[in-house]
Amino acid sequence: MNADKGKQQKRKASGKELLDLFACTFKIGAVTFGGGYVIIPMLQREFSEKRQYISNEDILDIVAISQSLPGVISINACIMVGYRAGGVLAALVTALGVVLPSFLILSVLTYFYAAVANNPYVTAAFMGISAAVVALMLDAVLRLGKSAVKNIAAWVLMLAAFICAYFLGINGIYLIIAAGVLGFLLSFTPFGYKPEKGEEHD
Amino acid sequence: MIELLATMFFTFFKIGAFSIGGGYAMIPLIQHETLAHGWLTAREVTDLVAISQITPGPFAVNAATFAGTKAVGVLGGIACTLGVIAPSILLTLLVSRFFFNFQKNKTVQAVLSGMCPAVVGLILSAAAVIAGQAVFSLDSKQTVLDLFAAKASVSLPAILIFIVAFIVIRKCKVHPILVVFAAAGVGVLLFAFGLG
Repeated sequence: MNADKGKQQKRKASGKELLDLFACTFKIGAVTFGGGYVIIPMLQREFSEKRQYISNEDILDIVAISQSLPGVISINACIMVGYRAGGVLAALVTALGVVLPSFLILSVLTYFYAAVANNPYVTAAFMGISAAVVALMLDAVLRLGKSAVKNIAAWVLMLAAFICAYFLGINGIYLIIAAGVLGFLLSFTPFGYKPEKGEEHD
Repeated sequence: MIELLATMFFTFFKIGAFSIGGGYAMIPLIQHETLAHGWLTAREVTDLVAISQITPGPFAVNAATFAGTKAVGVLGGIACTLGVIAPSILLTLLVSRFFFNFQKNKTVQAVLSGMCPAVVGLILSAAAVIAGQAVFSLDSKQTVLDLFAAKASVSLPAILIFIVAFIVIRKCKVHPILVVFAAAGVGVLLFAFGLG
């Protein structure tokens, strides 16, 4: 089934389709707050239901792959939609479309921020926000931890990463690489990842 | 200038290439790199997380644009943004083209089973750094251990905002945008007018 999908990719999108893909992903990029999975239902509505560029099954595949790949989840997902809809050029167009609104908004906002950041009221507002940001991040830790930290080995890895990053100041990139290697090695022991039936789509 | 832009591109390329789990997973990496390069201050990193919550689009792009524009200007924003999305484009096209069953691969799953818990630990570390700033006025290099050495100043209003925000987020499932705006309002009342 997947091999067939590969063959379908050969079709190229027309100029009009490319423009449509761009306009559509630009719109999605402009109204999606928070990125990540928030974008999935929008991709489904625009590209599966309204336009039939891809099927609903494709969407599930795309969600699974884009979260297993490094990088920006929502951009990964858009690129895959674009690729399945019309090849490499279409994929690049969708990536550009979804990135451009954030880029434009933040470019302007950064100058605005720089101009007002030292205003005492703005500073006070951001002091309040930073306390709330801690709460938001802790919420993310709990939500992600629920799915990623399920056994002893995962707990050890999580705590070790925390200690190495927070107390020893080690760059997270090295810790992620080390944890990946450990995850691979652990899978040969009773403590590590074990493939189970039905778990493949997790 | 070209050299700086290239450094920015490759730094954010690295961040993009090693972010597993998206969004929040990127905060610790961006925090580490932008502080190490001196592109942002600790406060700016925290403000950036807040700004990203209230603007549309992926955190990675918001962060890259902010850091680059803040440090160098428009060209910096472009270099960082291209850097952070380049790994996404390359890897996703590669997988779309050749490895449709990539995510079902046993080795990939085993590697991810190690990386994902570590990412959770990293996000916790980034949160602890921000908490240190917000509550104890620590700088980004200090940890809670420094509280014993130095005289600690504890910000009660910050603790109050944190607790209320945490309960509201966990129990009432309020949208982060509302939490950010409410915290900004309370912050002005407590810190600027000293009503705390």
